[in-house]
Amino acid sequence: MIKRSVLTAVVILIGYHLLLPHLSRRFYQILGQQRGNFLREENYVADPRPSTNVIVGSSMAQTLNDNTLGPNYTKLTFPGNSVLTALELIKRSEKKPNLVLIETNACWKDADAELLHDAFDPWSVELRQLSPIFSEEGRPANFLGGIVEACVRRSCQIGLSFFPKRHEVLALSTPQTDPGEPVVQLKDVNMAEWDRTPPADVLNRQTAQLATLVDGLNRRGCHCILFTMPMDNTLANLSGPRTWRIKMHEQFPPSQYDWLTFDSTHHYLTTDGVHLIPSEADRVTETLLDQVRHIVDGSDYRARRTVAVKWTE
Amino acid sequence: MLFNSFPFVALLLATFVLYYLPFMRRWQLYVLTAASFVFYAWEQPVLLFLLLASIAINAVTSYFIATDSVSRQRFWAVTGVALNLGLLLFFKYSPLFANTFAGGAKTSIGHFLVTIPLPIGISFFTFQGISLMVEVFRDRQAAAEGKGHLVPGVVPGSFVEHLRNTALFKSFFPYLVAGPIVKAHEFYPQIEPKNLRNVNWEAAFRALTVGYFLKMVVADNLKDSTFWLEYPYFTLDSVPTLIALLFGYSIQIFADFAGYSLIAIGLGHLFGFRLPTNFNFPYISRSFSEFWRRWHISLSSWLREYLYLPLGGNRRGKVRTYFNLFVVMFLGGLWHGAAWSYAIWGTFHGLALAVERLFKDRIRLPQHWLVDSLRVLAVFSFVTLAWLLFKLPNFGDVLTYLGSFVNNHKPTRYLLVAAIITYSAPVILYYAWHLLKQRWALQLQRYEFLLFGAVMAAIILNSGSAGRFIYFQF
Repeated sequence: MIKRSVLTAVVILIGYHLLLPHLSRRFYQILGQQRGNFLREENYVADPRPSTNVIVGSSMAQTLNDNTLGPNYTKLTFPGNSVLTALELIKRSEKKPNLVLIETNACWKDADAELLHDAFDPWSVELRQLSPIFSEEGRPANFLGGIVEACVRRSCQIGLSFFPKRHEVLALSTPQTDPGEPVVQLKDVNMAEWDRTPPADVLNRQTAQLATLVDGLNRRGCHCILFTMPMDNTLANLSGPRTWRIKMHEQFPPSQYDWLTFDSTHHYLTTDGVHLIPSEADRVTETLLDQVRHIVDGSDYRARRTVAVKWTE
Repeated sequence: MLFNSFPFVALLLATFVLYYLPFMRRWQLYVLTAASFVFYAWEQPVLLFLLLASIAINAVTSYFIATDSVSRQRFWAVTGVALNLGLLLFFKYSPLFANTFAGGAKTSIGHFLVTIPLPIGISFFTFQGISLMVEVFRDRQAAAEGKGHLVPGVVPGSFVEHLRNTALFKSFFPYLVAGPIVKAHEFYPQIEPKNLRNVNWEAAFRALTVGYFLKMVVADNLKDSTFWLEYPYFTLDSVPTLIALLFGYSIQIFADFAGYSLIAIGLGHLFGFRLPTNFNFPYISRSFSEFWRRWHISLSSWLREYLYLPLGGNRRGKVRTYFNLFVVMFLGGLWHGAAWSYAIWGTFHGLALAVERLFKDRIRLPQHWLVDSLRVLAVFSFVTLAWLLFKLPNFGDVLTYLGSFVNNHKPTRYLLVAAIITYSAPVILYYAWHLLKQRWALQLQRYEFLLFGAVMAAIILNSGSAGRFIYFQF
């Protein structure tokens, strides 16, 4: 029984290895936020390109528009996670991106040990090199889940068509692209959550970790640019975000580090007080790129950079 | 220490090798106990002192029950049970007491009480300790009345030997932090030198494979989806999504806990111990009483043996029976967690059991597969709805969730629903296989290796990110 089961498992693994390149990707889907994080992490580490520009951050920077950013930018943003995870990934992968844009909003969590383990554990790396079936992209659930998703979507649409006001309902059943108003409950919870001053030891520890990583990348020759993702103005001025901003500017003074700035008087539209709605995120992406261009092309760039490197030394 | 972590695998391998080395045979129990202490102390070493204190209390009091004069046996039994309950009440229920009666963290005593750490597994090893007290006491009572020994071999002649056995009984790592709750008479007679030749490899393989599959492939993947069942995220979801989330959580909690229990049973087999079955396909129960005979069987039988029957069970009239059911389920609910939502959850089940008993004598349902299916569906729906109190310990959030069925006109998150269906499907197949096996056991047994092979491949290819077992918090 045990031997035959093990043999069957081996046969299934070999069969899946042979089948995977031929499987249709028509319904392919990544099931869940954390799985998406694993996929981004693995793809980044396996990316053979020597140096692209990287945006690191949390779900807030995740809203930045990929199309506007273009192929020269890789978004290493992990929803529900910390910016430290992405910076650790760059550091430990020994890559040397030209530009590293660092979102400084979500630094209170430590780097995700499981993501880093998956990226650099020699066994996991060996297995992924041996066969793509061991990578996040090759998980059987991505194929099955995609098919199930298509079936669920179709069934819901058929079911909803029996409703008297079916057109209204169907319209509601399509994903919202621009909700326009923040979801009240989520915003309330976020407000309560963010209206707390973080303890001094957490602030010091986390910013020190961030500083170590930023300085390490600077020494490697990367150009680190920091920014704070805009959010709902009421939330942005609460004690939590304000304290983090002040601490970040103390740790990374604008005279020595490059910072992107966004119009703080503008009323940013969000889905929940924290995450920008797509149209707003588009505008922020464009502003971000403009500023990056200005910093990189600007006359003061080289001088600033020299100062930064000296300071880190 | 998680069963699916590298340190655990290393500890297991080292313990296994040492345990079965021929020249270590005399020291087998010490090897196992030492490994259990390392397992328990891994994350919070300081809590080991609590476990050691609990072992000492139980060894001493149970030894005195067995050896002291008949007139003092009751005193030692009451002392032992009271000390066990005292530890549990202090460490587990102080925050609840503080929040309910002492003004929460605002007062100095309240602040002290709410900051007491909850030692992992305390509910499990405390109940085992009580089982030891009661069984030794009953055994001595029976012996005094000339009825012979009920649980021979639980208390040996020497105190040192008893202390050694009790240390293993209380701390055996497969069940230490999340059960099954093993009773003294189930474990002590098994304490004897073990031989590698006697290991039931197939039983261990079956239990470990299915257990790890349920935990790593089903529960760990579902947890990423059912995360959205927390307040306020569910307020964003449509009715189909809300139903899918609750269904997914119901499957997750089963897969998580049944998976843990199976792993514990499999590990027990590796060291030559047979641990009791803890889950017997509870979601195909046709009644609530059947559900409690299938779900967390070791707890249900503990509550029945040490609480429901001593209260009088169903022998003291109908009203008293309903009262007993309520009390047992209320306390069973509180055992799960120090929050009133758990008590409500228990009462909810107590009410269901009482109503079921009330109608059982008056209504005879026909024996038909359709009726049975509807009964299964009704019980499953009720049980699933009650899990909401586990996921949302704040009762206000539960009401908001229920209100969302009426108030929410949001888009359905197809991908989320699809993820829940995809990862719940194996559990449905697991149940289907069980039902098919009842009818065609011999024919299907021949092909079971295919299923186990597929399950092993799924563990390798599709495990989720490791999460703590839900029942660790209890």
